[in-house]
Amino acid sequence: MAKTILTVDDSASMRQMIKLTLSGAGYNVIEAGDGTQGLSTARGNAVDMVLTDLNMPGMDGVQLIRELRKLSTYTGVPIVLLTTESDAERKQQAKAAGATGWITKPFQPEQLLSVTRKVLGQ
Amino acid sequence: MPEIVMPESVANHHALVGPLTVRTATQIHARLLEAIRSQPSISIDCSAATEVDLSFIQLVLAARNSAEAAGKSLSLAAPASGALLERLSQAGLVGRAHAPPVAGQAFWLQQGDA
Amino acid sequence: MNVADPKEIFQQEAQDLLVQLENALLDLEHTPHDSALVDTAFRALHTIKGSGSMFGFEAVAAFTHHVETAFDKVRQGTVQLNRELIMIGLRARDHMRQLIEDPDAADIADGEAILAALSRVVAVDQPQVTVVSPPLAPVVSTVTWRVRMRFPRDVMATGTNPLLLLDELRDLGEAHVTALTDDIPLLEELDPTACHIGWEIVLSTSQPATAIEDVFLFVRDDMSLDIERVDDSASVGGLSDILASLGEVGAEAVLTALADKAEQEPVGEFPADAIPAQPEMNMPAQPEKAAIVPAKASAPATADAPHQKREGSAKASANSSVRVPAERLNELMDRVGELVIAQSRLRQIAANSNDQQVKSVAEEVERLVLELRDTTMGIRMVPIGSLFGRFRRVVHDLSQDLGKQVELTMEGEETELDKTVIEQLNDPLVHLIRNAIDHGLEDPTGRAAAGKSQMGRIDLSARHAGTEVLISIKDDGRGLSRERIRARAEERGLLAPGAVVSDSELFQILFQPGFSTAAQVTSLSGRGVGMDVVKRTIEGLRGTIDLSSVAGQGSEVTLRLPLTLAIIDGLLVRVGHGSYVLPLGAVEECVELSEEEDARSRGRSFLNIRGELVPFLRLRELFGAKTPPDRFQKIVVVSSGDLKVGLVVDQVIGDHQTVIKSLSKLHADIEMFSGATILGNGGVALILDIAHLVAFGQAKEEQLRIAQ
Repeated sequence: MAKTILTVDDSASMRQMIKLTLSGAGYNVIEAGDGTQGLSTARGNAVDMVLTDLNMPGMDGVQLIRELRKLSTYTGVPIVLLTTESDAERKQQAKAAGATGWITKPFQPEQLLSVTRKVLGQ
Repeated sequence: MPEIVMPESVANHHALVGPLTVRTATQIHARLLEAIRSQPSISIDCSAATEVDLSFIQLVLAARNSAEAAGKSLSLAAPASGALLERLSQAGLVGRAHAPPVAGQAFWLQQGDA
Repeated sequence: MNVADPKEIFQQEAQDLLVQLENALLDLEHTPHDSALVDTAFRALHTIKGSGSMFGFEAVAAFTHHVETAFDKVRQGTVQLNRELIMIGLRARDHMRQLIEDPDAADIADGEAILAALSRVVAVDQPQVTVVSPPLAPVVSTVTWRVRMRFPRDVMATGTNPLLLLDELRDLGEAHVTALTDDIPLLEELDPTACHIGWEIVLSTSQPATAIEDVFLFVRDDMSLDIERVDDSASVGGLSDILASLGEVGAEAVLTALADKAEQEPVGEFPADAIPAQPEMNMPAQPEKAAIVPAKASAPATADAPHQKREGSAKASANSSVRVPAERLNELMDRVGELVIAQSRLRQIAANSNDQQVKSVAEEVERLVLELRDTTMGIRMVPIGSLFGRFRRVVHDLSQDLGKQVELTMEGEETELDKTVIEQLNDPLVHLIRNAIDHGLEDPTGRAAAGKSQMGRIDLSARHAGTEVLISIKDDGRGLSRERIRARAEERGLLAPGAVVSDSELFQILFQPGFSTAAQVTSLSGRGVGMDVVKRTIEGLRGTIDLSSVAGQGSEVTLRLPLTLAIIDGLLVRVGHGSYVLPLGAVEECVELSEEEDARSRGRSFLNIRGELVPFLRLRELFGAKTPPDRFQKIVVVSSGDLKVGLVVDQVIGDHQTVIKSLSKLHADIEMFSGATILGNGGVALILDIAHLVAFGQAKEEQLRIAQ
């Protein structure tokens, strides 16, 4: 069965790129435009992996991770952040909040797939 | 009302179904604790598991430790197979197919005197 | 699936972000300590940089990086936000726009100048040339490592599957994995989600040690990981010793491992210099690790509730909207227009039919078509706030250039207007705002002398009034000087010397080509593109322009614009053989022209309606109708602004859904008509331009009055 990945990003172009890459590799991709939306989408769906941006208006990536980790259904679900070199501090916060891993922007589609395979298995 | 007395072999048989993962670990933990507390010998049946991860393997190993410490016995209802066997082999707890055996694998595969 | 090009999505998205950035910067000018605004600016920069580099906009990403760094410093409190930095931010924003829209046309020197200015203010790192050392010649030789690991306790709960990492190690080469289960406590003491199992792996691989460390990339910081190179001189015998020393390995395992080993390259033969020195293996593999700084109090995200709220609602609507190419929308509009025409034909057929079923279906279709029309028009509606927002920058730049302090207030930003109308309104409004600041507002000395506050005001507002939208640009400046306008108008021959004119007539002269009262031509206004162009544009949108002014207190320009350019509800009338459409929104009432009144009004064309004198026009005369007039003529009273005029027609046919087709170029300068429409019977009706008719009627009345 295809694994479901939730991508949370306020940038439509990023979501589009992620969706194209992951659905091309056979994953089922669902989208949310910010943390708040991401949290409610996560609650309403069985998700195998969450891919979230850090900088988002309203609920940011760190808060989203914290909220997700409070849900028993998200214990052990990989949460991967999209981050940048300059985001070191927030990346640490995200890790402390329970993030599984990260991808540093800019990245190539291949890198996204390799991290996805890394945390989800082949 | 007459009390229903379950045959010991049935009462001791713990069928664990569905996902046996870190998400369900807390429930399985509680269930195994209760089993060890109340029964002299426990048989764990995970043939109906849909998903198994390391946390379950660790639970069974911890349960075995507890059972031994309490002078009770704990075993698998059947040799590990399917997802469980695969995880055991990934974890290095059971030798891979056609590979030499690993110490301690007898418990999982119900070989010899385990 | 219709997949849009991420590049295009990025460009659209970047435009939105640039608007956010600009607004945040402009707001920061007033409230430089608003951390929520700094966050917004930073986030916009951050996303432009991040997404830009992903979609091939490297120049944007590289440039934005420096600006982002600067604003990150502001966010962290290490750099104080000042006016200069805001100005540089605005310039940078313009440059980014250039780079996104047309990278080839962007002025590189300009970008460099901005970055130079930026580095002066915040001491940003200069662009660094990354020296990439040539990769070492690959040496394929197998090294054996002993890898010992203990994961952080919460490793599983936080989504890492240790078993997958073991598999990754196996992928690197020949691995022998031994689980270390001694630390598993009794069940009673077990935290079921924590990881108590460790591993020891003997791995023979041709990959460097960093490849092993990379496997643990995400957990490296929190776990204990020892990667130990097994003795250089590790012979076959040595390896078996190692394995045996692990204790839990059976003799068979060793033998199998050795058998596999034998097929590979000899373990001991590799040049020593190909192996990284031991200490390196404990170095962080990721450069960013070195950059990690202790968590500082970052800007609170919850500050400034109202701002947050505004942003939140904008976000919500952005999320639920779909971008559609404008041409598709136009196509849809055309189809709906044709449907409306077909529907009105159906209505005519149904009206002449006795078939009840046809009648009821026709009614149903009519209702649906009307709803469809409204929905479709709604799609084209855009809040005018998107346009108003742009003027903040105009006002900001202008007040800088002219040394006038200006406060811009906006009202009714949510007022919706057809997108085509909004787009065309930009230039006229910019011109009017420039005029207001340049000519309307006094300089600080002048204001002080007039007893006004230093800060001049420009009030921009929009509101609905029936089928029109009123947009007003108001300033609290010196007001229009009747004397100067008059003098200039007479000088230019636009007004007969000594002619008696009303204020509104006098002000209308301002809109005539070639009129300018500015004593000196500034770089901003008074440069050819004048009020006449503004007027033409507004009239092209079927709108009108009014000007009012109180000397010493300011002026107000009011634009009246139709909600949409595409479809109007009209009143169909007949004059002679011709059918004409009057926009229903302009129609006040219809009255009958009695024969007595008709006869009595031959001399003067005005009508007494409830005590109010309303001039009227005989459209028969105006259009030169040859047919004999109907016995009972009707007067349709229409209004434009505060003025009314009665139009005498032969017959009022009824209301009519009017899809406006513009007139051919040949007829475009016939001011009396604003367009044409196709009738239910396939005929054509001209749409009357009410503003012109009213002006014409009023002027005619005036002439008659003067003549008497």
